[in-house]
Amino acid sequence: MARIFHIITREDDPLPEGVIAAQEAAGHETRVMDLTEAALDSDYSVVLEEIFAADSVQVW
Amino acid sequence: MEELFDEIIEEAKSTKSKSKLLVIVDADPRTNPRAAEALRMAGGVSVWGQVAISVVLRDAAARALGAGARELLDGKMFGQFVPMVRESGGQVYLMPDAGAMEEVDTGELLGNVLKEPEFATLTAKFDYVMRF
Repeated sequence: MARIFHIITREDDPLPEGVIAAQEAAGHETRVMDLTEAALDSDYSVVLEEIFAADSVQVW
Repeated sequence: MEELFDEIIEEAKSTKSKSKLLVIVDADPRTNPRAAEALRMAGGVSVWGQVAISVVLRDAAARALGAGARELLDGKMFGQFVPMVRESGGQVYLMPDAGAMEEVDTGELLGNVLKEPEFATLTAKFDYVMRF
């Protein structure tokens, strides 16, 4: 099973929600970062860490 | 110079473990030029040969493979860059909404249509997913 990192860039977006739910149901490990809720002074190093740790990076 | 370029392209194409990129387009090509730009990027990078690219045209974006595609925003690009993706080994999948379903060429619908569960399964097989 893959470790999948999702980066959300749009508010109230049903498309990634459905995909993430289906991937989790299939047994994949998902991580989700919602950039629409990130502050301007957020620490983005965690984004890089997740990108390099993931098998798949998906930008929505 | 042209020979060197061809040599680089052929070498890149022979690389066995390419990264796999899925480009999802759901921008409406009747009103949003992002749809054509996404296919231009996908086609151009496909030819480079370093990345294995496939495309999903969702909802209204499936009109890019319809009879009236040339009349859409930057519509000439659809006929130019969709074949480039395919000739480079990529798939172009369709998930048309009801309106687009009436526009898409029936030949394109054969074997290229995805349903939602298949779409979710497909996304997990790619190293990268980008949505336009």
